[in-house]
Amino acid sequence: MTTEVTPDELRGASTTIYAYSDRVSEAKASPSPDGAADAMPNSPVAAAAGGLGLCIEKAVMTVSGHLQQTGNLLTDAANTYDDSDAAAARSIAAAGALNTAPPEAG
Amino acid sequence: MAGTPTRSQVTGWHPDRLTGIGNGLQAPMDSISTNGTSMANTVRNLDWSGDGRAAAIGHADAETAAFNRLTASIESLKTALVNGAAAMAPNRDNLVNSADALEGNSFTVSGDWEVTDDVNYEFARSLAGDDEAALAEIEAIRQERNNHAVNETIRLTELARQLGVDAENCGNAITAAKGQIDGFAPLIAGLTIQNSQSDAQALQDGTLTEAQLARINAAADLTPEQLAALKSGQPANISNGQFDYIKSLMDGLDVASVEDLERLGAELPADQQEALKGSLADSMRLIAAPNFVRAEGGQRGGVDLLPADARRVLTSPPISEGPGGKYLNANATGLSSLARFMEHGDPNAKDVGSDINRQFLKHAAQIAEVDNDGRILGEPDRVASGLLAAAAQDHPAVADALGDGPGAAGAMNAADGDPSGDWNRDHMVAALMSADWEGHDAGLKSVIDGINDNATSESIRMATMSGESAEGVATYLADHPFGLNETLTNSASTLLGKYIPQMAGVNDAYLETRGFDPLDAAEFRNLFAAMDQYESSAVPFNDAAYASVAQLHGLGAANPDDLFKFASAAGRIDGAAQDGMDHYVQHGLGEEAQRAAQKTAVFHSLGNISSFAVKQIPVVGDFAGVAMDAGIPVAAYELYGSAPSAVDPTADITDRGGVVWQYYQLLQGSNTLPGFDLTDPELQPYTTTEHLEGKDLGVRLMTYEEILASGEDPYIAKDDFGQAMEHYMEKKGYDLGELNRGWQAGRDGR
Repeated sequence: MTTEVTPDELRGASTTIYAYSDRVSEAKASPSPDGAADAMPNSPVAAAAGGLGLCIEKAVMTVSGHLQQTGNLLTDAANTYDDSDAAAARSIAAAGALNTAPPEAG
Repeated sequence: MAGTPTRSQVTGWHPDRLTGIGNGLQAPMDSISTNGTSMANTVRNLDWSGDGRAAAIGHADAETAAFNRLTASIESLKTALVNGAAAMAPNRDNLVNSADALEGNSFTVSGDWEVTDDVNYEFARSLAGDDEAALAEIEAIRQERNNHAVNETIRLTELARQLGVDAENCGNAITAAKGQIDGFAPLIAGLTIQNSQSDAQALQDGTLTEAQLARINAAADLTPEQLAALKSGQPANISNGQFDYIKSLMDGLDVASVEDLERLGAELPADQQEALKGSLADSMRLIAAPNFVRAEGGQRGGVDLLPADARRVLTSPPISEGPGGKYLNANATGLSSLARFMEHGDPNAKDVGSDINRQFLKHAAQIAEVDNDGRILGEPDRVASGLLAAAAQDHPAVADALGDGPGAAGAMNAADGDPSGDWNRDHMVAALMSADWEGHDAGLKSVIDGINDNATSESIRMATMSGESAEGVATYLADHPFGLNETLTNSASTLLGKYIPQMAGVNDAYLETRGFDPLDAAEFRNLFAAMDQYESSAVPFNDAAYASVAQLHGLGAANPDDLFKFASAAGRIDGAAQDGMDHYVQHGLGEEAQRAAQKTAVFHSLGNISSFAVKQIPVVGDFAGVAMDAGIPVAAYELYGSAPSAVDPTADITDRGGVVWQYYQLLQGSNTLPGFDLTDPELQPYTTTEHLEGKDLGVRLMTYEEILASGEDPYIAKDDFGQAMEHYMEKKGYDLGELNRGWQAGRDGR
């Protein structure tokens, strides 16, 4: 097994992924999905669409959190890296093993 | 069955707006998709290979697959809205416009779409008089308009019925899509400032509705990812609605004293009241956690966001001074009440790094310190112990208090809302560890035992925090080895035994534990001396030490290039164990007879351990779960040179163990390797066939004790085995000189 990646490269990748996380957290639906209930008051649409804005907001924040966690995993791998290739690979593998895939969404 | 909407309903509907709302979902969909793919590409484009790459890419691919399912669900929502608009908008407009047109033409359209002719035919006929032609024309018009009204009633009713069906279909499609999205990110509905204010008021008034109670209970729910981030001392982004709801709820509780908190929800059934108090305690913990971060604006949790009275007791000194001396004041009483209230809540969500717990830990140390001077009135030990017990499960807070990790001191200083301060970790640990708890040591015991919870966590960060906390305990004991009571020393022994390899300098990469820096020789010796004070702590700690030694030899066998390094660490442990016991008997025991008795007692304890649970020992590498014979009786000989005659006069084999014992451990390490060969002529005499209930379980290596007993004389048996091992290991390519040199280097440098 060979592992050429350096701790600095792992940290760099981590920083990049944190930026992706930030970008996702800033994503907004416009106009607000909450407008769906307002557009169809006293209707089955309104009943179903209540809280739609929060629903989308939480989905976006959850994705942002997942990306942040991926960045954290690479940071952890970098921080536990030593001069031993085998040790670094083991750290990264351990980080990978921490993955808990998001619940099925559809 | 879809209902037919009334005219007033339809007039208020604007389904055309759903198109824009649906299309507005494209931005978050694109952002999730684009940034998810970019994340995967970033991982994939790193220049590496092997298992690490495979693990990381596997993680990234699993994440993007989930993101894709989420965007598909949002796409379904978009489709539901856009298609709903396309189906409903023409009918809605047709209905509204038709009704308006009819009413402009002297018809009336009722709420349920019945069209009636408004023309006053009686009046028309009166004007026509006897004019037959005119009367006939009026009648013709009347019939025609009547027919039109009937037809329009049928048409409008059908349109409205169809609109109802389309609205129902659209609603169902939205519900289905929303359910899919909620499956990814559970929805906490209705968390708004307005709701929070009314919920807080109802809470105070005792008029909570079922919906309000459910909302308060849902407010502290976090996604698994958010909770994992907080538990590992990392920031968790919280939706604006959820953050604002809890913040506003706390504002609404400003009128409640900390004693009042226990009485909230008294009008509810007992189980509902307990759930309510648990939710409020969880919300308080979260809103006072600096890593609980509002998504927009980045506002962080802290004690300044708590209800006023909780904030007051947490940030005010618990001790006052009067003419009669120092005494516990009303704030201390408030702290105790708050600590009891914080026992409510989700036991799995108490370790979120809350400043409530950092303040509990600080105040407990302040009380213990003053109490150590013997100048305090009241029940300081009980109060301080209660605060420690309440904070014990909050591992990030404990790590900041006891550890010296990055940012720990800053976090402790800022926990009262004021980042200035002169927090001193060593001072606090000393205050707690040197206290005479007078029977109230359960709180500190909980803190030490709690560190154990995550010592071997798969989460690198959580395991690291435990290691940092454990190091705080160890460094205090290394500086002050004598004096901690037996109960607390036992807790420390159980905890610190897991870190013995790290104390000797073994890299975290080979271990399940993390975050513990190596000790110098004097610290390492003193720690053993501290543990040797009590038989109950000495036995498990020395047991762990020699189990670690055995496994380090095994690791050396698995990693021949690093044999020197592992042997050196093993030698360092062996040296510290022996020096520690010497230090203890020299400093801790006065009379020679007393020293001999203590040595004998501990020797006897170690000698009685014929096996041990290897999984309690932290060394891993390729050896997790492999039962190794650490030869604990032999370790006792190693430790004391020879068995005290009072224990076993026949067992005085002064050179038993030593290098041959090390060879044996090395052989056990190679046992896990493909090249290991029990049929080798050198090894064959040291094998035995295992039987269970008459069944042949196969050939195994003898235990060390069995090998020593295999000849007429244990000296000769040991020497024969040593020689056989030298031959065998040489054939396998091991440099036994490295083992001996490493061991000696470890002992020399200890």
